[in-house]
Amino acid sequence: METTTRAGDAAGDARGRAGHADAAREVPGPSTWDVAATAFRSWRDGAPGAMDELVTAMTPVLWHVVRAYGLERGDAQDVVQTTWLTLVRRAESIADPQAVAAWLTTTARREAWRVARRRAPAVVVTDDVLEFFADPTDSAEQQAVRHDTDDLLWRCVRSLSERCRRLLRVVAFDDRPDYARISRDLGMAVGSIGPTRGRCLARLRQTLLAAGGAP
Amino acid sequence: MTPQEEDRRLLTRLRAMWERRDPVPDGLARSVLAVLATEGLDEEYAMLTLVASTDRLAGVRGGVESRTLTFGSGEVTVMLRVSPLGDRRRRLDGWITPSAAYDVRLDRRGAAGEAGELRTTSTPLGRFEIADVAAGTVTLRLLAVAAQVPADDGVAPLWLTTPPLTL
Repeated sequence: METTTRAGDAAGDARGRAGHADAAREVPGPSTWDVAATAFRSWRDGAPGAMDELVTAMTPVLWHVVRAYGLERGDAQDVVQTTWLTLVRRAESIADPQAVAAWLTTTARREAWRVARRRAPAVVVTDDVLEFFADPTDSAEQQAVRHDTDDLLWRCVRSLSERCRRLLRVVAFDDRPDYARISRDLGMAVGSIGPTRGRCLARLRQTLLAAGGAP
Repeated sequence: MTPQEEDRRLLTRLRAMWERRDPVPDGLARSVLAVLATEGLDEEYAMLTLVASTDRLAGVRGGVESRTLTFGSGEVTVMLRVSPLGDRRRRLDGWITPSAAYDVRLDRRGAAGEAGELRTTSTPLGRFEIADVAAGTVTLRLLAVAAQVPADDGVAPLWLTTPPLTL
């Protein structure tokens, strides 16, 4: 799993230009974005099974992007499904297959935002009421260690503002976030997204350090 | 490590944490594929139309004991019995044929007071109930439960929806 921000972000993020650092990444290989683009092209060319590949690669990303908007799980599933249906219906209108992943996350965010606004406030849940689900394939020991570090990170994330939590969750799962769209949804200026992300990460790092965790 | 790499690492940890804390529901990708397979690329909703409406009267006093509405679209028929509970509350009993499990949504968008949507699932025999709902205008939507839809079956409609109806 990669969480790489590429050059060409709407906000002109400088991180993507640290080209030499890419060689040191732990997980090389094609990014989710590239896998999605290749699968989408194949699907449009009529390759059987290509849609499976696209859905498998992008559904987890869409899930987390949608959940960042505070939708409960049932609504989030609906939004993810609507997003895929929209893709299939409007496939011809996507001029650049390479951008299909960005198209999907943008569509999902827009739909999530629309549903979140329509909902009564009582239905929109915040992350801190989510249940914890352990990975059933882990050993008990791995789980225990992971729970501790996860719990600490979780507590620290919860201490951030809602805006920070949402922004960090979106960018953590979105290889190349559409800053223009996010800025509108979060009520922030486009140019402030990059600096805000930096501040949110810095604050999280401080909180982690203060709590005795790895920054 | 450069600050950029540190940021990237922290975001990777966050990503892993959210993946464990709030995992993608089992079978979501599969159900997406099932829905896409049934997508005829034309209409998202198949509209159910009202086929029949009958009132059952309550004995000599002549009040309405229940109303049965029958909707149809293509091969699917939905029968809905609306029973008054008093105090502007209603009970709904539904039967879908051919029988299958459906996600059932009662959308109360237009109604004041109780906003939003009530959800239930029909039994595999196509039976569902909503025990207590405020009177008002609603639409009923049915979505074939993905597990019931063979992935390569391009026949079943996606959403079935009724016109607005007054309970």
